Amino acid sequence: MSLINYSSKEITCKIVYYGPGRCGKTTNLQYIYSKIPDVKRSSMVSLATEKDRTLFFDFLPLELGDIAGYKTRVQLYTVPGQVFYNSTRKLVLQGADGVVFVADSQVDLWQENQESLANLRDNLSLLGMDISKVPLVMQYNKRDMPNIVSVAELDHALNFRHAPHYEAVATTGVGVFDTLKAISALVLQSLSAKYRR
Amino acid sequence: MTNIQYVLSEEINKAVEVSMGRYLKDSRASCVLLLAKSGHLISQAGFTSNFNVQSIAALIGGIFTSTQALAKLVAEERFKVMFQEGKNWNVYFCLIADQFILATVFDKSTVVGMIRHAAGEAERELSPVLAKAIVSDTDQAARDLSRKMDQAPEPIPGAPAPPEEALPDFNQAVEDALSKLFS
Repeated sequence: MSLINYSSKEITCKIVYYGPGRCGKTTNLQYIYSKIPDVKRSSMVSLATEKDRTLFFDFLPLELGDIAGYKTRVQLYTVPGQVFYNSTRKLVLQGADGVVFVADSQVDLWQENQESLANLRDNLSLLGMDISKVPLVMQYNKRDMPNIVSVAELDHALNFRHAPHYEAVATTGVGVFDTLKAISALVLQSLSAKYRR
Repeated sequence: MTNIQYVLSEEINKAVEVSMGRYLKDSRASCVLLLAKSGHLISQAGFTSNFNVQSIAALIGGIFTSTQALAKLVAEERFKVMFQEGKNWNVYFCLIADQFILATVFDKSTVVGMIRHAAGEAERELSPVLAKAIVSDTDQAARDLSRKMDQAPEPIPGAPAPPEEALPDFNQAVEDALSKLFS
C-alpha cells in the first residue's frame, strides 16, 4: 500500500519483516537503527512485552533520499512471530509493498519456519495478495549458531519461488544490509513497473 | 479484498491542504495529521515540528486498525471515532472515507465538542477529495491512473503505440541511497 505523491514527488512504501518467533526480525531493525548516524536518526518504535517479545510491531522509518527523481521513504515493520498473535500479524501485513521472510537456520526451528511461511501465504491471500507475486526476499538468519540447516536445504524447503536469498547473522549485521537493499530495490522496481509511462 | 494504493495528484494535495488549514483554524487544535489507515502520513498542519510525525502516524495506524478488529469482535461494523484524554494534551481520531484517519492533537484552548463539530465538516470536505486518491492495486487501474496523472494525450486510433521506456535499475540507486544515509 504505497503512497505516491506526484505533487511533492514523494514515495512511501512499507516493507514487513515476517518469520517465526525469535528468528531475528526485530534484531534486523535494531541493527539497521544502530547504524544510522545520530544526526539522521529519528526513532524506532517497538511495541513489545515486558520480556522484549514483539507484541504488536516494530517500526523504523528510513529516508532514502532522492531515487529516480522521487524523495523515497521506506517504512520497515516487523510482525510478532509468536503463533497466537496471528490477528496482529494480519493487521501489520496489511498494505505491505514487500516482505522479508526471516527464517531461523537452526535445525530445531525447521518446522516453525515452514509453518510461518504457510501462515504468510494464508495471510497475504486473505488480504488479496499473492505470495508468488509480492516482492519477497528470504533471509536465512542465525548462521553463526552451532546446529544449523544448510542453505541449500533451507532454500529447497522454503524458497519455492526462487526469491533472492541471503545468509545472515543479524546480531552482528551480517546480511542485514544486503537484505534491506534487495527488498528496497525489488519494491521500487515493482512500483516502477506498475506506474511506468 | 483488493489491496489498494494511494496516489496524490497536485489537485488532491491542494484541496487537502486547504481543508486541513480550515479545519485547524475552526477547531483551534494544535496540530492535525491526515494519514492512510496503513500508517502512511499524507498531510499535516499546525505545530508538528516538535513531534516525530512518521512514528506517530504509524502508531495511530496501528491503534486504529486494531480498534477496527475489536469492533468486528463485538459485532460492530466499525468504530469511527476515538478520543484519548491526557493531562495536557488530547488526541481525537476520526475515520474518513473508510480508508483515512484524521488525527487532531489539542490542548485546553479548545474543547472536544468543537473538535468533533469541526471534524464533521472536515470529513464532508475531505471524503470526496480523498476518494480520488484511492487506487485499486491492479495493473489496469495503475495504467489508467498513470495516464491521468501524466495527462498524456489520448492515443490516435490506428497510430502505432509509443515505445515503452526501459525500467530503471534500482539496485544501484538503492545502494547509493543507503550508503549516503548510513555514512
